[in-house]
Amino acid sequence: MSKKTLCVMVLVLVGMFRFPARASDTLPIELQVVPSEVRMGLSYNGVEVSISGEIPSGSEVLVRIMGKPEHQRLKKKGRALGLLWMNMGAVSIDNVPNVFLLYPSAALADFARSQPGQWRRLGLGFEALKNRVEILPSTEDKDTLFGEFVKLKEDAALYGTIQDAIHYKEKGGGEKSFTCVAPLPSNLPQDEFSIDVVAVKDGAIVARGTAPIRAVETGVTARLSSLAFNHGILYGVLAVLVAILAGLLTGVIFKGGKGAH
Amino acid sequence: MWHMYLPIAGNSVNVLLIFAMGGFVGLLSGIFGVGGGFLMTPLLIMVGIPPTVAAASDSNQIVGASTSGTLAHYRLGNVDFKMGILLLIGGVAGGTLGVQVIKVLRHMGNADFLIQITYVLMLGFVGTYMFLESLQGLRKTREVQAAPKKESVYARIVNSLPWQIHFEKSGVTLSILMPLILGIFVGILAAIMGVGGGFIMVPVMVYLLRMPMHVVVGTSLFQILFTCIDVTIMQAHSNHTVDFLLALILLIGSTLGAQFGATISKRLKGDQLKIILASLVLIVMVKMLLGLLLKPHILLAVIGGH
Repeated sequence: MSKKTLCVMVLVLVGMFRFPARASDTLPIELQVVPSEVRMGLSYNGVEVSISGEIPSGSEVLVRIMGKPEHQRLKKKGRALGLLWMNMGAVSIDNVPNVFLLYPSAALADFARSQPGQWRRLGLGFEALKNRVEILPSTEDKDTLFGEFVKLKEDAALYGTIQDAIHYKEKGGGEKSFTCVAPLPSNLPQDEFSIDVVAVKDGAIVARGTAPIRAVETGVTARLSSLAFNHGILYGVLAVLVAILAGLLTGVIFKGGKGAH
Repeated sequence: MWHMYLPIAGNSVNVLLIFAMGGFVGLLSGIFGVGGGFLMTPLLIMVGIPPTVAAASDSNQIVGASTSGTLAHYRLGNVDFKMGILLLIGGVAGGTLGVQVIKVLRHMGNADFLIQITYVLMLGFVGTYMFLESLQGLRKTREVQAAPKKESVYARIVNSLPWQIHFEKSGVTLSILMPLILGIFVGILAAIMGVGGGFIMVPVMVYLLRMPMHVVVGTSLFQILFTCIDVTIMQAHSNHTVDFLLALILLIGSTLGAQFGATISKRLKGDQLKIILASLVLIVMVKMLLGLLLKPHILLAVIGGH
């Protein structure tokens, strides 16, 4: 068995794990991702990543960008004395990604709306994610809390369904090419994410592909982060000194401008 | 184009917006002698900064703003260093004690409830009292205080305390125990509420230490400067939540604002200053109260937030 075949098989197996519904008879999708690394320097303000590939004609594509599963601990708001809304204890949510962004084609978005049962069986969206997460304490209402968790993440632009990101071009020979211009938020965590692409036809997954993408801080931002996290006291003292100097400098400038008080 | 990525906050912000926010809060700081943390932290959270980073970076910028403000007020002869140092010693002791109190409350599981209630009650009490008192002053009704008996009891206690010294800048003679005890009191409250304490310290100096309003503003800024130096270094060391770039943009705005604020402060009468500050405190109190009474949009919150 050649190395390439083995790689394709591994990718398909990974894809089968990620998209459990109807894992058989799927074709691999080779993905081109530009840029392949998100570089977060001083001027970073979110980025558009172009993801392209070829899928069988007549199928519709969904691109999903997802972070690694992690543990989240959150404060739960409730009513105290039947009157005041405030933090009332904490809940833990296990096995949730820090980022979960879906970019469906317009037709697939319609399909998800009009055929919710079939869409759920494909195991691609938020419903499938809900089934994977574990909420503690287990006495909590999972549906409500997961819904609130998604709202919280959507507010931070780290979860969501983004429409109109997919564009097609017919190629002939039973194939068409797609391009997804996926906007990534400015508060993207520094981490590695998985780009998963599936092609859906007649309510079944017919092709899939996956590729990694990494977000890393570079230049001044990376150096500041390193100083802040590895030499906290020095960073704090420097921050204070610069602040004092800025304050004194402004004071001197203002005195110069106005003459003696 | 005007955006900058902040590595510790992990988000990109509009530099002009942050600069303007710094300028606005710095202006208030220069006028009233408050750090402005109670305004700045919620504003930063609104533009997408994580709550813990917002609070810590704000402390960093207050160092710059209060340096500038203290210098401006020092030139105007408005800083009572002797009083400021005594309040500071008390404040540090009270802050340390307050941190332990909050640990116990968190262990008991009702810290958030007590913090928020304390916040609203303190703001409400301080704001209302200050508003009514300064309104009376503006109307020039030189009536005797409504509760003269209480006043005289307070005065008797204050006068009977040992180690009385004269504070020239403030024009008052008090026991050194007074600023120390009141500093401890404000320090405890500030630690419990997670704020610098300027909006509590100012009324304490005005009403309990009987200092003139203009000296209060300068002295308060002097004291806030040291409190925030301590908080910034502690936060940078323990929690890594100080975003220096964010603080830098804020402080450029706030140091400029503080200079203008100090000039405006000199032109306003003491009662005018007090009534504007009281109105500001009451607005923040009403906003907090509404936040407690209205159902939140999302019933989960990140730990470390409000």
